[in-house]
Amino acid sequence: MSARPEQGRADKPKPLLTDSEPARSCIASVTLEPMLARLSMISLALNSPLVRHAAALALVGWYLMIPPLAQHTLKSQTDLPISQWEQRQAFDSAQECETSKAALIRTYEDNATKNERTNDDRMKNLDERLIEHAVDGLCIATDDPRLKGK
Amino acid sequence: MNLRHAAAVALVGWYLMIPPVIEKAGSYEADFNAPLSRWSVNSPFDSASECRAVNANLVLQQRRVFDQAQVHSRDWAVAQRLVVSQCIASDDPRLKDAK
Repeated sequence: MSARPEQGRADKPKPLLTDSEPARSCIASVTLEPMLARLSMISLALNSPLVRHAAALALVGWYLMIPPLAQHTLKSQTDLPISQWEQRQAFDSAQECETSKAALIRTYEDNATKNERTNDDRMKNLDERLIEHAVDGLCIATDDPRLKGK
Repeated sequence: MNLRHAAAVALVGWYLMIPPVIEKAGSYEADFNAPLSRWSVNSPFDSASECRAVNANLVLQQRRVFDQAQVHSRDWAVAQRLVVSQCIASDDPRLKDAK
C-alpha cells in the first residue's frame, strides 16, 4: 500500500452532484457504477468457497498441549493451568492436531502391548500413565488466552 | 482489497523460536523458563508444517553436537537451545510481553 499523498489532495473537493446539474441521476450512475461493480466483485470473492476454505485453514494454528506428569505418581497434572503444560507440536489445522494426538496414543499403546509380556510392574504402570498422559493432551488454538496464564 | 489481500489478512504466520542462553561463571545453558517473548526468532514460515520440518532437521543435527560437546560449554548450550526450539504462531498470546 502506498503512503504517498494523493495528487490534488489539498484542493477543495469537487461536489459529485449539485442542484444545478440537470442530469443528476445519470451522472450518479456513471460515477458509482464501477465502484459498485468492484464492491460486488469483492463480495463475491470473499464469499467464494476457495477464500472461505483458505481462511478457515489459516485463521489460527493449533498446538498439541500435554499436561506435566507428577514426579512420583506419574499422574497427568490436568488441574494445572494450560500455560504450564508442555507444547508438544504445532499444526496448521485442528484435524492434523487430533491425528497427531491419536498417533501418540497409539505409540504408547503399542509400547504397552510389547511390555505386557514382561513381569515388570513398574514398566506396566509407566505405560498406563503414558497412555493416560497422551489421552489427556489437548488441541488448542494458537491464540487461546489460556496459553499465557495469569 | 483483492483476493491476495484477503488471504494475507487471514493468514497466521509461524516462527521457529529458540530460548536465550544464560551464562553463570563461565557455565552456559539454555534458559527454557524464559518467557516466550524473550526467545528469539530463528526463522519465519508460512505454515506450521514447514516450520515443523525445519525444526525436525535442526533437532536431528544439533542433538549430535549436544551429545558430543562438553557439558555447559558454549557449544553445548547453543545446541541445547536449538534442540528445544519450538514452532510458535504469530498470534500466540505468549509473544506479547506480560504487563
